[in-house]
Amino acid sequence: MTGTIAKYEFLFTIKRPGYLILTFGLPVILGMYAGFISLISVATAGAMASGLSAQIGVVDKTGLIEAAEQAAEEAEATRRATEEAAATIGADPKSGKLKSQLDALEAMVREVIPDAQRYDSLKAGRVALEAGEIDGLVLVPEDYLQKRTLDYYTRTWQMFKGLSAPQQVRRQLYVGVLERAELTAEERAMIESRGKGEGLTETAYYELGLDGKFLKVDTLSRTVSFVLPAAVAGILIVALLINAGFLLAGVAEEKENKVFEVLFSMVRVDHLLMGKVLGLSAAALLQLLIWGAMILPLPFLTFLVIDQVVDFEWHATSLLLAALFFILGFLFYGSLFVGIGALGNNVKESQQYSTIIALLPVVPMVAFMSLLNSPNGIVARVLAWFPPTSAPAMMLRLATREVPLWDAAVAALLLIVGIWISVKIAARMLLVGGMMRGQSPNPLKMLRLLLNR
Amino acid sequence: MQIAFDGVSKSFGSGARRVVAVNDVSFEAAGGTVFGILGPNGAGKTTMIRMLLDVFRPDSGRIHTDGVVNGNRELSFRQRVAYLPEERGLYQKRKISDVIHYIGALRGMDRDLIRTRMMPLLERFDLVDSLKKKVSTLSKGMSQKLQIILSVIHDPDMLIFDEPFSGLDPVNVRLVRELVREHRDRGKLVCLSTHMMAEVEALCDRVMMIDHGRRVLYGALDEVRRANTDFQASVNKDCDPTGLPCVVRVVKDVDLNHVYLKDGATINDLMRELAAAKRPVRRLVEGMRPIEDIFISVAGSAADGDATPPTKQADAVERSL
Ligand SMILES: Nc1ncnc2c1ncn2[C@@H]1O[C@H](COP(=O)(O)OP(=O)(O)O)[C@@H](O)[C@H]1O
Ligand SMILES: [Mg+2]
Repeated sequence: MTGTIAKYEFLFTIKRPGYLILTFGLPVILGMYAGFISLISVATAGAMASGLSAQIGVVDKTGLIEAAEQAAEEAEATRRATEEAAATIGADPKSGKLKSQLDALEAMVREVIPDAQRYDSLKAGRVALEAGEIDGLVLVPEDYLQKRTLDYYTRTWQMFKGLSAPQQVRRQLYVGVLERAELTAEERAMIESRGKGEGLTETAYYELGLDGKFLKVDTLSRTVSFVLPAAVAGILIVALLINAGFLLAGVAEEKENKVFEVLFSMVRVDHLLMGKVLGLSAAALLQLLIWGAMILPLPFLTFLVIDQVVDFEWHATSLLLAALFFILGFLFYGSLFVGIGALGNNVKESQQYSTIIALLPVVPMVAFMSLLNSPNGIVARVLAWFPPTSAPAMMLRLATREVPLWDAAVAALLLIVGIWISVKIAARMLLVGGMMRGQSPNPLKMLRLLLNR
Repeated sequence: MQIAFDGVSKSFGSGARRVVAVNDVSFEAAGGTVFGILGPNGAGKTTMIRMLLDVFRPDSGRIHTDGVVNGNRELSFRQRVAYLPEERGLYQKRKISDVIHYIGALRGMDRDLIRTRMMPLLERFDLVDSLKKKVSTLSKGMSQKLQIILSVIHDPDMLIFDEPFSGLDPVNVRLVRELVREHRDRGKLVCLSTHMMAEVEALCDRVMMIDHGRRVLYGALDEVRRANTDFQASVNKDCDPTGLPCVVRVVKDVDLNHVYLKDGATINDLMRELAAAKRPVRRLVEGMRPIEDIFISVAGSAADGDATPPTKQADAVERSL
């Protein structure tokens, strides 16, 4: 008997369209996401590389870089000579000691190859920076050998962008220092052991202020104000998942209780759903606020500490915009969840469909680096203007403070249109699906019915 | 309130699975009447009602409300209508007063107005004590009452009840009947769909019968019944008028004898002859078949042949209107 029941239940379940669609559709959709993400990664790789190796300029007041370059030239000459000598005596340059010698010389040459624009004075370099000819300017001050501090000037400091520039200069300096400075053998060994100039040099960062003057950047505080939006975007995702339950249950309640048809006769379905999205999202946001308030001492203390220690920079416009996108994103994903609620046969099926949506806001998080490095690049714009990824993408972009206001306005507008369209579609699905008496609604059937009311 | 369908059709699905749910149906109904939409299950009644409420849109044809084409798409129309759907439910987990206030608010009423309308209805339907309870704690009959109250809380101009009697207990059947008559008497239009014929005779002023989506009968209830009846009078069962001069034939039915009269003879002639012959008359009524019989013969004959040619009786009614 149990066997019969098991067999019947099994066959009944696997023949359900919803089951089939989930079983085969979910992997396809996840695959599409993976493709989307790889696409972003590929597109991002370029931007990232260009971000990391921004065009930089160098002002060297010590002559150390020149020394390094001379040393490199000498090394290159030595390398060639060695190769030629090896060729004449018939030694294999690809083997043994000879090879490692050649490799070391080559590595040194590669490191010192100057791809930086050279400027004679800080003033000339700054002019070029302001004019956008270069993205960063490294100043090696006269007192470098005493203070071992480099100055790095940018238009706007960013956490990842152009970090390699001072690093590159540091390596050159390292070579130069070894070449030029009168060092004891011990000192030389000590410097070499710290490797590639790390720890030898500090970098002081400057950025162009609003008043056109270069100001020193408090990197710690800036890092915090950089990471915070990412954290908030993360909270958005978690909050969404919580709200999803509410919304699905909200639609399921009316479906199960057969209240929809009466409601349809009183209000327009899209108004009904929009009301649901707004009401339930407001409830979920309130919940977030209350949870925030309940652990208030914690963030408050953290804030105080951060404020004391790192002089956290509040940027009012970005913050307001981030809040706006948080709410809009919440509503948008909410409207998608309502649509899913209208689509699913039962709560379990709806929940499965909803994973598809819950993954959407994760996509921009994958492009994290790219969004921060080139906040106005193609990838960033596409992700921010495409409603399904808009909210988290915008929150990350806003962290850079480089997003023009009109750009944010376009993203917000598109997101609002996205909410509207999504509610319209959900309404249509609900209307058709709700009236389908006994037939199990599934996405294909829906699609057909959506076209004729 | 006045409504009219003008050649309205609606089909579902496509290809081999296409179902024509409503096929070129026209009718009119105005305030102060109870308009019955009759037909067997699957005839297209619910689809017609849903089109009236703009849940579905017709494939072709027009719907007028108060003479306005597509007037049923306006919010103002919805606000004037009460709808009790065939499949009806309530929010199970909410409190009754909350549900009433929510529905009232959706109907555009403020809290005071809701309260003043709600109390007499609740008292009449004996629900006052349950106000603070959850809907899920109500018995089936009680929740039916609540649904009925909710449908008319905004004092609508038109009641649309889809199969209102199915699943109702006798007490609630009576309540619905009272509610319907009361609204009719106050000049409202009541449209009800049903496949229960006894209710039609008890309630409806005008009827439209549809079968396979087509209109097969339409008109004032008595007219329809008269036109579909070929005998002229009925008498009580133990009274047999056979052999009287004006009588052609007598057909025995379950509780009545149906009498066919000679051409030109009237009920008055029959009455006189019955009295003269001292037959035990306790009941003498105009010949009118019960709507149920008409329904069965019309629906049956429509189903027998092609659905297209209307039956002879139906034709007769159409002409008589
Ligand atoms: N949403 C729908 N999708 C597909 N077919 C439908 C739908 N609604 C009704 N039908 C079909 O239309 C016909 C009429 O249905 P309906 O109007 O519900 O009849 P009634 O209310 O008179 O019982 C039936 O054959 C039914 O299967
Ligand atoms: Mg029906």
